[in-house]
Amino acid sequence: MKRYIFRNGMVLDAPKGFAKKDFAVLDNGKITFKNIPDRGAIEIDISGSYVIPSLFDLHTHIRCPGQEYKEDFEHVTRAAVAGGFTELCSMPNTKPVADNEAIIDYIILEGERYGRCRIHPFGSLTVGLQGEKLARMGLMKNKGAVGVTDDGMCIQDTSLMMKAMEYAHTFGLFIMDHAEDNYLKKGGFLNEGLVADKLGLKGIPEISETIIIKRDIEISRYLNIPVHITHVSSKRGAELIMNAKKEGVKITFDITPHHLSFNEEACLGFNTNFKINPPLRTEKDRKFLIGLVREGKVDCLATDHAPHAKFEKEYPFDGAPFGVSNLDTALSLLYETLTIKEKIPFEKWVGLFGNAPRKLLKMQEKALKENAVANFAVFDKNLEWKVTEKTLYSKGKNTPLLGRKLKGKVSFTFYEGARVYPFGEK
Amino acid sequence: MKEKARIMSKEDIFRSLKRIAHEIIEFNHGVEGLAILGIRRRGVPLGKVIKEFIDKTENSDVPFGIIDITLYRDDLSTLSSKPKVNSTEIDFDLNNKLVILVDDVLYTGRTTRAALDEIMDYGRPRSIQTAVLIDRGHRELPIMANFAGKVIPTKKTEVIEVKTEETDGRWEVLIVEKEKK
Amino acid sequence: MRKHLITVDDLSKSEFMSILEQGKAFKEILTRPIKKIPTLRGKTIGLLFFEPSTRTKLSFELAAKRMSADIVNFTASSSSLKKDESIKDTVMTLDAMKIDIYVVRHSSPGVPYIVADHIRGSVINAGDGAHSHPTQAILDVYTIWERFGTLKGLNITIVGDIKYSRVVRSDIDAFLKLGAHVTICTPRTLLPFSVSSLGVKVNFSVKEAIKNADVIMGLRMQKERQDSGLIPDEVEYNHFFGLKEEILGSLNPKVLVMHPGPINRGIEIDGEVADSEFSVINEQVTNGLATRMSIFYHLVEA
Repeated sequence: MKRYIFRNGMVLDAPKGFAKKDFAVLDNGKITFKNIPDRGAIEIDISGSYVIPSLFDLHTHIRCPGQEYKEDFEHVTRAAVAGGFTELCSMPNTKPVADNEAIIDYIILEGERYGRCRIHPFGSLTVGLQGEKLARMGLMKNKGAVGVTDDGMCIQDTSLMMKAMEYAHTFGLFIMDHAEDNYLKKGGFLNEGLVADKLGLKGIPEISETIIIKRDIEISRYLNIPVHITHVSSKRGAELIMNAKKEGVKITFDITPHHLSFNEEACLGFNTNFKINPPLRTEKDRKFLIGLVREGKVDCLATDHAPHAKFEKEYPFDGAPFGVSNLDTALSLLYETLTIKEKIPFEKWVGLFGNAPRKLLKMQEKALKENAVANFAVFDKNLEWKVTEKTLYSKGKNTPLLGRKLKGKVSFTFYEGARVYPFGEK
Repeated sequence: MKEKARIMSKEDIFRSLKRIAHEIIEFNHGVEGLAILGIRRRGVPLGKVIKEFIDKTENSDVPFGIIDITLYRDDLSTLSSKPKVNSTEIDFDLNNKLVILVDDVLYTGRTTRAALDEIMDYGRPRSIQTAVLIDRGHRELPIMANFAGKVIPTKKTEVIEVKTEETDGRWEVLIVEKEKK
Repeated sequence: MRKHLITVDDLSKSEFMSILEQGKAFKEILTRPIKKIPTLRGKTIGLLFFEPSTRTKLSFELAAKRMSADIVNFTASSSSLKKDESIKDTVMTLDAMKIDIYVVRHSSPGVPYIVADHIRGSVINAGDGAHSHPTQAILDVYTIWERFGTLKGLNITIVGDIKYSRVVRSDIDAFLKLGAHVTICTPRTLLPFSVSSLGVKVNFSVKEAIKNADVIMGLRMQKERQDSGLIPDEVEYNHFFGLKEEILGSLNPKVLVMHPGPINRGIEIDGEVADSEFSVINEQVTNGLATRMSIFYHLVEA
């Protein structure tokens, strides 16, 4: 392995913030600030760049096995490290569903084969995500599943949800819920409101999210089992969680880059790349969620990376699948939304995409300190880049940012001591 | 546009129209079966004046209609903006009529061609005759004026402007020169 | 420059008025012995109906034929009427055949925009899901305008199934744009979510809603509403929200009763009302033809 010296970067030393420091990555893959070699290393001046512990995504649809036409291991791991991520939590809605230990094993091993980043699989709560029978959560945990969820297929039967949570808790599994009432959501395509009415499309009411959040709060309180609500989209939903936390309920939640960056009006041109579930809500909801980030009240961020084939997003709005491809652009988009536009300092929120989810999953946090194995990303805040089908590494080109310029991009990613981005000889 | 000459006054125009009215009566041996159609826009006031002269002389009430040829033009695809379509107003049967088609100026013949086609969609007149105030030549189609107020040889760069009380607030005929581009 | 008509908003007020005013000339053509003009000779109009339609398709087809255009029909078979068919592939094939104007109907909102993105001609929306149906709005406005000379200050009451109606969406946009006051009357389950921001009044009583109306428009009750639990049944619906024979006595003599058709007699409108002297339902059909001819004339490219 080559040795690297990075000079003049702003290195994150949490919780103190950024400090200008030189450092090196040595042959053994470890970081040093003190023993920077004077020769035999590639020297890179990274003035104007931030150095941060590499990112962690709690919510990635890797689509494989089974839907390799949308995304595959090669592309998803490339997109991840190009976006600064070295750990991904895969969602169980693969084909076949990750509802047993064999699929969990396959995902972990296949992920390792590319050596770019780690995939931490989530298993399903119920067999086939059918909401009927409990999945083999214990055996999945033994093979390395880090959490369980029926993401996208929210369990509607409250009694079953309670049993699933109790069973998952037996093995200490992290329980995540995509809060959605199927009856209320049925046939909807975007937020219920003025925009949906204007476009003549059936809406997804906010209450379809809040009613299940409220249910999960009650279950969590009743059973005293932690639950995590993923991609909260509404002000009301977030308020319910805040209030529950005050009462001591063990509930946590995450928000996605797109819910922080766009509102329902984005759908006005029938652009299917804004078709997301839960849907983009109103500007009021978006501003409220940003306020929570500003106040440090969000538990973590998650991408909900949902790649789709191009032809699928060319269907009419009501026929196109939900989801947005996110890994490549998540950090750059949030930098624009939160730091450039909303003036929230980078160091105040970037950890929500790094050590915050690691902490939720009780994993070891990554730090930029002497002798630590190199797991970091360099984010060049001045690098302008254009989002095009070519500049995205994910197989899914379904992002509303296509054609847009973004300011700020990951320029280097190191994973377990090795440079994994930019691609090429290490 | 630059005005070059005023070639007819109100009196000149009315004198010509009166003569045309008499020629029409003479040629058709009276007013039996006669009908007048004015082509929008300036054929309409001119046609009305001819009708008045005929009615006064023959103590008749010759049917009068208005024809808008816009939808029959052959140059719609070469115009930069779409001309406004107005209604054709013919509230009598054209079958077997002796139709007098009135316009202000006969030039290439294309307006007359469009009007002929439109009339045929209304019925089968016994004959169609054309009456114009000015025949300025440069025909592009085999069409002639049966009755003409004045025959004036012109250059293609010139424009004949017929003004009527109804459309322009005064009666006169001008020759103007197109500005060179 | 090519121009599309996908929603009423694609027309400026002056373009809208121009279509109405010149619509008169086209209506006159329909009274002639030979109802045909050569205006669109050599132009090709593609009728792309991805969703079954009889009346609207007939009206567009006849309007095009009256103007001497050539017509090509693309009617998707029921098997390919899925939402996930590739509109792009279908349309690109047609574009290679050089069509001047596309008339598009589809059950999915927004499809006319997809068509417009992949062709060189103009697109006229003949109804896309519950989104928009601008030519229906134009013919409705024409019918009112022809009778009253203006829409400004008129009270227009719309009674019926409003929630997912493309006709209502387009009509309300057009009526408000031209200065009318609009009242809608329907059970709350059939009101759009954002009704408060539409700029219309809501009244749950037909009797009160039509009290000062100059125009009363009935709307077709879509049968699937009962299945989705939005109303109990037709009997109760007719009782509270039907345009019933009893209203005839209270109407002032100038009122127009309209309906975009096809009508369900005895559900949203009683036969006595649909056939009364107030009714202009058949006149709407004639006006649809005239205004669609006017729209073709305005949209066709040089």
